[in-house]
Amino acid sequence: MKRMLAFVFVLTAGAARAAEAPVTVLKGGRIVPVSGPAIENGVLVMSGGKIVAVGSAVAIPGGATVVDVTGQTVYPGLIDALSQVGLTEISSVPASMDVTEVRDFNPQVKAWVALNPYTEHIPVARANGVTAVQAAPQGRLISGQAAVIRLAGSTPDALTVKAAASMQMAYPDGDPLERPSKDDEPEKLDFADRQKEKKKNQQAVLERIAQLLEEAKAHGAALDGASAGKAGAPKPDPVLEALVPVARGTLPLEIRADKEADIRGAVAFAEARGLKVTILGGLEAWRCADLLKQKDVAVLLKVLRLPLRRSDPYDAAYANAAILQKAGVRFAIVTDEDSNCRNLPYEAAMARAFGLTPEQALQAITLSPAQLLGVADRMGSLEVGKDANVIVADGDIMDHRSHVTHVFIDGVAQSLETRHTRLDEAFKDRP
Amino acid sequence: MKRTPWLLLALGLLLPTTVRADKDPVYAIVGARVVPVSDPVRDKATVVLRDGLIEAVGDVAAPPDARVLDGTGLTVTPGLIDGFGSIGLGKPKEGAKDLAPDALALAGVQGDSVAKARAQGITTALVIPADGVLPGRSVLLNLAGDATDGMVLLEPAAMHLQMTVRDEDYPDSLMGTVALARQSLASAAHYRDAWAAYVAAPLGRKRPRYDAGLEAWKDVLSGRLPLVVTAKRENDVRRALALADEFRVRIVLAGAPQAARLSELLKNRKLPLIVGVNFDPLLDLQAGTGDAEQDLQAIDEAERNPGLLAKAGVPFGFGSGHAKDYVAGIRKAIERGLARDAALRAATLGAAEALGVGDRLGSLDRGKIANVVAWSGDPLTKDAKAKMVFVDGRFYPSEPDDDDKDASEGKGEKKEDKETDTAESRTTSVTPWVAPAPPTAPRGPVAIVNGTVLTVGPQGRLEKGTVVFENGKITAVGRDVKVPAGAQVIDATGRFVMPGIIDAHSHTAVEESVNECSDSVTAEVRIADVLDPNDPDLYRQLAGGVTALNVLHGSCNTIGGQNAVIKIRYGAAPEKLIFEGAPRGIKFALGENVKRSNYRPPGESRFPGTRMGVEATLRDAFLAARAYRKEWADYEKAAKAAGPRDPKPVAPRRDLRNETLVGILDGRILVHSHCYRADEILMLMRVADEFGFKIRTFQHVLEGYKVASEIAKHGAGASTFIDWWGYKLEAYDATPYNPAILAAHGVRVSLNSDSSELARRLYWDAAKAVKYGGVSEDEALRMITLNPAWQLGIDTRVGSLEVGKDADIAIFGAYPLSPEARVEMTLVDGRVYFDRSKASLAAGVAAGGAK
Repeated sequence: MKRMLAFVFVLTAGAARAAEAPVTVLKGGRIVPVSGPAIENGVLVMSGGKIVAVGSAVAIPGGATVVDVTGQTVYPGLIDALSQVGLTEISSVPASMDVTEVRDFNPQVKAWVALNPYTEHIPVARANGVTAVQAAPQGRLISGQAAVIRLAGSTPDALTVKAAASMQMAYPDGDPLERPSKDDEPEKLDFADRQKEKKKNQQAVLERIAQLLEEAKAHGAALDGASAGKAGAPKPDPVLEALVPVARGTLPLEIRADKEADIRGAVAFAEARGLKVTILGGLEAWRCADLLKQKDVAVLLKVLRLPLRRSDPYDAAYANAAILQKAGVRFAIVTDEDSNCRNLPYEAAMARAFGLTPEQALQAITLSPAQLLGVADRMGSLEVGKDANVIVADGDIMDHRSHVTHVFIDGVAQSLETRHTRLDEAFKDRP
Repeated sequence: MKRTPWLLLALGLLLPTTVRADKDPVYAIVGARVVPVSDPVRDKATVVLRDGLIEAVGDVAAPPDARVLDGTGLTVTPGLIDGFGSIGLGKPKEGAKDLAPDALALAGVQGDSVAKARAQGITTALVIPADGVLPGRSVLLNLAGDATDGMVLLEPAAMHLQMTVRDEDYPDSLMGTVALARQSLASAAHYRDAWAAYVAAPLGRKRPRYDAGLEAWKDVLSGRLPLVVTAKRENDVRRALALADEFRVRIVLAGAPQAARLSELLKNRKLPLIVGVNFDPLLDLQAGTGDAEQDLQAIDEAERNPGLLAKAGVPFGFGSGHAKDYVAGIRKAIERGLARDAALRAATLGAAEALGVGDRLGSLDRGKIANVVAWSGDPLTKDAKAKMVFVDGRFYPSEPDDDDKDASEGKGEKKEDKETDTAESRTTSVTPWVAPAPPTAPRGPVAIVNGTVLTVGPQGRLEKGTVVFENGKITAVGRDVKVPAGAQVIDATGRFVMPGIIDAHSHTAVEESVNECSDSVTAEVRIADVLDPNDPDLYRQLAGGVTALNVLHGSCNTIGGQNAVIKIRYGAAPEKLIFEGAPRGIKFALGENVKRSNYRPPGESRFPGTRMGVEATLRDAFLAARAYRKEWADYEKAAKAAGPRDPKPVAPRRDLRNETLVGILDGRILVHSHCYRADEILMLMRVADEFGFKIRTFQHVLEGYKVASEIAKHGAGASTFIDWWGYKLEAYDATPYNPAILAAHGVRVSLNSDSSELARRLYWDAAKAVKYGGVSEDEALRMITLNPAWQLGIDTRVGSLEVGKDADIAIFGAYPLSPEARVEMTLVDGRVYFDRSKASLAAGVAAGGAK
């Protein structure tokens, strides 16, 4: 029933838009702006794609479409700062996958040119309150450039909010760059030699990347020189060009690193070169919270994971966020998924059950990811002037039993219909 | 000696070949320090060697005909014995078979390659054909001469089974290796009986076909050959013992880097043991586990293993385990806690005894084979050099050139440096692994009081309820239950008490692969053979309120292996994990995984490659099972009908695969079938109908909602994911409304994890069933407790809090379906296996016992 209401609502909103900038009002609900204290029985006004008013004593404009959400809770749209939504469909069907390029170094590939606005993942994530994600390439070493996308729109351009949002990299795992052929009998190394070999390989990869960054710096200087008319244009080089903002420390380099040693290695690598670095995954970030705080390195944290080491406390992954919070490390909670990006609030719920306050947990999937992705001026909280990415739930958004009843992206009510609801409708009454 | 008459016989036959035509001189080593191993050390004693044997040891005069060798400053010991390894083998031949019970190591021995080992003081070696699961039969060699015929002490010496796996062919899982060993022995028994019957009364019988492999196994069955089982991990020792018990064969353990964990068992069972000194890389750690700490702990444990065994009083011998340097390995064991005299014993008499030749080898005693080494420096120290080596009484002086060359090239030194390096770095950085210690049973009754009790039974939800249990069983549940006098009380004020969660689809605690993938029907393999009770994921699941698991074979084949329903008695012996009395079950699988749509290994494709073929595979299997059942019925009829004078019919060959399939046909084994698409669900029910059995559960069953009525009519349960979808083409029509639709159609639904991570939060999957499709909260709780209990046939024991049921209980700090939910305590059989106050990151406690 709720789903149908929402659907009807889309139609009316669409019709209204044709006439004049429509005004939509949510009234009667408990408003959780994230940026400030909750407002009981509040009013939120959206117009022209923006939030134009929010508070308890807000006048409802005449001619507005008023949605009564009494008894429900109004939140900013959830933001998943690390996902593959838009770049994948069915992971076992290679033809549907556009997330991992071949070869090791691909800084020139860009997520926003390959987004599929019609992926089934978008409506599914959206129907559970996720209104924006960072769509990120994955893969060995330098994976490519990620974009922040809104989960509504019919073209890649319409989806794209910010591009590039970051450069994606995986911390080297210790495998050699030149992988040995399958026929080579691997030498039986003892433990110490294996460790040495791994370190050596990691170092070799990092040096290669460092060298690329040096070349990118020079390439950037040459480009600047050319545009200032001081020299001729350098030979076009998409790889180096893509790395210029990374080398200059203006584009975040997001490095996937779970092990403590890798996190420390990533931080040191970035610091030595003045790079702006963020840690992805961060399974053992709790082991180096002090370092992350000291160097002000943020973490995009996945919560629902097993601990890394046999000897770890059982809840090492679940309590990770609370330890970072306590240490003052900036972090956002992410899913790092595609089809189940919808479960973002439940990643936060586990962090909450293991030490975050409800407010901190909510912030980790709204305002914090907006800040870390550099889009906090537009989303992440319910404040006047921000994009009207607003969701309404009939309970706590982190409660698995709650339903999302309304989703607005840029002020436009979204359908809550998904592949799943359609299948439910089709079969639930089959005799 | 009583237990090895076969050995004496074999020695008697073979020894004459070691007596040479050109007689060696008589030797008398005089003035040496003599370590006979069997007797106390003697200073300035004499050892006399004559005709290949030791003639005298002690304070005796050198015989007049003896060549006298001055042993002043030297220490004389028995020659070292390599209890299992590959000394003397040339490079393994290209394409050497690793499943070759009939292979003989002797065929690969190159006489001239033994000099290097001999120069190190090694005089005898058990030589195993090659790596692999069934490499064949070993030979025991004296490292003398350059022609193998003069070297042989025992041939064949033993049959070998190595607890390892093959790459793609059967067995590619540890459980497959166990099944292969069992089937081999079962087949050999039939082979033996068939031949015996034929020889006794050939009339009316067909002559059995000769089979070289079964001939070899027959010798194991008869006790003529011991079965040497190379154990890589703790539980391999138990696997070897299980074989000994089931088939009454003589077992010798080899390798066994974790044997010290089972010292008591080894002593009780008097299992001959040859401990390997190949510590790093350990056989199964060549690539490492990815957890450096865990790797280090494994190496550390292996190095300390010999010392711990000696301390526990377990007799053992040493073997190189294919290490490049046997003696360096022994030194490492000494460095890590083994007394030097115990090490020498293990490398001589210990190895000889474990191999059943302790009466001939291993010590300096009159009449034993004259394998003797005179060392400069203390034997088994870094400075020790084998100055004189005697094998079969023949003198092999050390070659000073070798030493000098090594020294001049700096080789020797470099190597030693490295040894010290790693030893230091390890001993300082490893916290030894500690086995989890299962909790003790509480004495007398225990009452959990003041909590909100979610019984998931007829009593429903009880505010301020009480649950009383004693001896692992619930004795009272209710609001007005009196706490028995003297009861231990667990205060659950503000907490929620519910039955332990049951996961109907798990692969936790499986050692090596969960799939025997080599064939599309592998009903003979058993998960119960490969359970690891020390898997930390078991503890982590206890911490998620889970108390029982259906540990399933993977979905690689149409008919996979037999599952094990377990209680999470973390750290108990594997057989104690098994949920006693639970019906047997088996894993089936349909669709993409079976037809290998998403991963197809190189080489020829395995049948089936389509869903059509899956159905055909099922029908073929059950037609074969029917025929097998008839074969046995016919035999039993004939056996009954046979008069006392008639020749007894020979029982059919036991076929473990068909035996299991017959169990399915007879309804004794529950079928749990992995499936996705509606069509294949219907197909399986049709096949089951045709052959007259039932499907107990459809696993995953993501399109179950499309055929919910049909599933309900068949009477099967559905064990599904709440919201995983889209990862495969066949999962594209998944919907989280599946549980709700199935339940509404009368299907008993459970929510499973299929993941050691997801298993820790199944209570939230239950909450999602409320969200998607409006399942009631009571029904949602049933989906993770009582319903999976029914699906596994254990619902009279667990799944709800009712009097008479097991005290398997999860205590939550908040309502289990709420976002604050967190498990505070988990009990199995009334024992507290998890207590968060004693184990969490916040508390700074690593937890779980196992480190």
